Amino acid sequence: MLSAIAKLLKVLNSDDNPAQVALALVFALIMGLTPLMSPHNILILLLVLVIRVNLSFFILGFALFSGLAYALDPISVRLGADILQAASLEGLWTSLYQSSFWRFMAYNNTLVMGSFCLSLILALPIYWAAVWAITRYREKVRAKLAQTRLMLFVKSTRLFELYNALN
Amino acid sequence: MTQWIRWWGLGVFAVVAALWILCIDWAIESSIEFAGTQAVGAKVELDSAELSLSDGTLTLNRLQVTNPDQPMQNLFEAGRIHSQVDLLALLRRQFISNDARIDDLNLYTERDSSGAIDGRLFSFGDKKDDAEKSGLDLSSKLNLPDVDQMAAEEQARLQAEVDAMKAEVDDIQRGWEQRIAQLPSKEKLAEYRRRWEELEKQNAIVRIKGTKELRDDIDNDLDALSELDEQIKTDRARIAALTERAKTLPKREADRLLASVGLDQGFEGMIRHIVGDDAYRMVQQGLSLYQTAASQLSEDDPLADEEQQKRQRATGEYLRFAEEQPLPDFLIKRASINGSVPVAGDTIRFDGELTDISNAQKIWGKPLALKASGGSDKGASLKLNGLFDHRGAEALDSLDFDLRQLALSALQLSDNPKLPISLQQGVADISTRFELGARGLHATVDSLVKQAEFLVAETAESSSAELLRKALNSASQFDLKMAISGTPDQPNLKLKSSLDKLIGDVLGAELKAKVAEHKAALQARLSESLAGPTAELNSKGGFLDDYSGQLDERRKALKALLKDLR
Repeated sequence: MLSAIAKLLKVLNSDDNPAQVALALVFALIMGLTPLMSPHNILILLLVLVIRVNLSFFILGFALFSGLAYALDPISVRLGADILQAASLEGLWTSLYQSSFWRFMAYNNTLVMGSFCLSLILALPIYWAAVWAITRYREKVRAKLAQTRLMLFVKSTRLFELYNALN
Repeated sequence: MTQWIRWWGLGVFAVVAALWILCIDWAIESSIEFAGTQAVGAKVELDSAELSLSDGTLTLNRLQVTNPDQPMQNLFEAGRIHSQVDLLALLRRQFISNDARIDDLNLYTERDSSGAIDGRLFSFGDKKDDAEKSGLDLSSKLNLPDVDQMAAEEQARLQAEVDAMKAEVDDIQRGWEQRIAQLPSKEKLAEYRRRWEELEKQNAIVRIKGTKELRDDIDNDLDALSELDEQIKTDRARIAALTERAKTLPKREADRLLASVGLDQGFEGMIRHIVGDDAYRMVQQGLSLYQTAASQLSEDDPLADEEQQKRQRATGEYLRFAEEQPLPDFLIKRASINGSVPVAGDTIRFDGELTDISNAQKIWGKPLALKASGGSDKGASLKLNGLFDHRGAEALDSLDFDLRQLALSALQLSDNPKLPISLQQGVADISTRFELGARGLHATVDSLVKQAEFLVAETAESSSAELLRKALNSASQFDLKMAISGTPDQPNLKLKSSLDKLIGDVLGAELKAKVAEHKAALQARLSESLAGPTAELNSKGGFLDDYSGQLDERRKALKALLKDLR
C-alpha cells in the first residue's frame, strides 16, 4: 500500500508528461463508469496497455470511478434511455440495430449508452483539470510543500524511504 | 511518438485475448450452470461444454438438472446436447440454432450428491412420523383441517353476514317508524269528531252529504290500516326468516366449509382418501415443473423489472428497434430428442421432436410444439403431443399423453405405515389431456387397470385393514379418473374410481364418523363465535308487536267514530 502511494507521489513529482496521467484518468473514467464487461472496454484495455499512460493512476482511477458508478447508475440509465428513445435519433439507432457489430457493442443497452455518454461528457473536463492540476502542483506547490513541517516529518518516514528507493 | 507506445502492452493484450479464447468453453459451462441454477432453484450441472468456432457448433456433455423438490433426484439428465449455432447471432447476444439434437434425455434419474444449493434447503416434513403418531383413525389420510383455524378465517365473513341481517331488520324498523308517523293521529280523530259535531248542527241535506264524506275518509284510513296489517305479516315473516337463517348459519357454514375441503362426498371419491395425498403431490410437482418451464417461454417486460435494476449495477435494459426479421434472444427451431422415463416400474424409451423453442414467442410468432412416441420392452406404448402457445396475453397450452399397456409392478398407492397399500401388478391404459388457458386449468387423467393384484401389507393389522385386504383381493380391474381444475398455483383435484364403492363399504363408516365429529366441532365453534350477534338479532324482532298494537288502537278509535256516525 505504501509503495503504491509512493509510486503515485513519484509520478506527480516526476517530469513525466501530465497528459499521460490525465489520459490514464480518462480511460479509468470510461472503464469505471461503464459496465466492466461491455465490449468497448476491450478497446479501452488495449489502449491502456499500448499507449504509454500511467498505469498506477489508471488503476487508482478505475477503483475510484467504479465505486462512483454505483451512485451514478440511475442517472446513466435515465440518460441512456433518453438518448436511445429520442425521436430524432430513432433512424440512427434503427440502422445501427441491423448491424451485428453495433449489437455486439451493446449500444442499445440503456446503462452502456448512458454511462458511456456520461463518461465522454466528463472526459474532456477531467483531462484538462488533471493536466492543469499536475502542472500547477509541479510549478507552484511542490517547492513550497517541501519546506513545510509536515513534509519534513514525512521525509523521516518509511514512505519517503520507499519513494527514494524508486529513483 | 514512440515514447507514447508501449509495445510490451500489446503482448500482454494478446496473452489476455488468447487466455479468453482458451477459457471460452469453461466460461460457457459456468454460465449455463449459473443461469440454470438461478432459473430452477436447484443445482444445474454440466460435465463440459465445447464451442467449435470453425463449424459453429456447441456441444454440452451430461447436463443434469436437479429436481427442486427432491435434491437427490434429477428432473432430467441429458447425455449430450449438440446444436448448430449462428455465430453472427451470438455477437448480437442471441442464441439461434436451426437444428439441435438431445441424446439420452432421461427423466427422474438418481443423483450421486445432493443438488440443493446454499440458502435453499429442501425440507419436507417427515410425513411418515406424522402418520405413525396419528394411529389408524384415518384422520391422517383425511387431512381434516383445523377447526379453530377454519372458524377464525370465516369469522369476519360470518360477522358481515349477520351484520347484513341486522341492517335489514333495522331498515324494516325504520320503514315502520315512518308508517306509524303517517297513521291517523289523535288530532286527526279529534278533527273527525269536530266535523261530525258541526254536521249535527246542519240541515239534513248538508248533514247527509257531509256524513258520507266523513265516512269515506274514515274508511280510507281503515283501508290503509288493513294494508299495514298485510305489511306487518310480511315483515314478521321476513324477520322470522332472518332469525332462522342466523340460527342455522353455523350448521350451513360448517357444511359449506367441509364441502370446500372435499369432505362432503359420500362414497363418491373415496379413493382420494387412499391415493389423494400422493396424487395431489404429483400434480403439484408436475405443475411446478410446468410453471418453471413455461416462465422461460415468454420474455418478461423489461420495464417490469425496474425495481430489480435499481438494486444492482451493470444491468440496464436492452432496447429493441425495428428489424426486418426480428428474432428472439433464444431460439432452437428444431430439436430431436431421445431418451427414457421411468413409469411405475417400467422404463419407457421415446423419440421425438421439439420445434420452435424460444424465450419470446411473441417475437418469433410460433408456439412451441412437442411430439414424441415410444414404448418399453414390456410392451407399453407412448404417444405425446403438446402445444405451448405463449404468443398472446393469455397462454394457451395443451398436452395429450397416451400410455397403453403399461405393466405396473409394486406401485405404492398409500405409504401410510398403518395402512400401506400397493398394486403388486397390473396393466394400465392411461390417457391424459391437459389444457391451460384463459379459462384456467383443465386436465383429465383416465386410467384403466386390468389384471390388478393389490397388497395390503401384513403390518396393517386393524380390522379396517383386514376388511380392505379382503375387498381388494376381489378387484382385478378398476378405473381411476382424475380431474384437475383451478390454477397451477391452486389446483383442485377430483378423483373417482370404480374402487370407490368397494373402499367406501369397508372404510366408509369410519370415515363418515370422523367427518361427522369434525362437523359437530366446527359447528359448535361457529355457534360460539356467532352467539352474541345472533342473540342481538333475535331481540330485534319485538318492535313489530308494538306497532301491531298501535295499529289495533287506531283501528278501534276509527271504528268507534264510525259507529257514532251511524
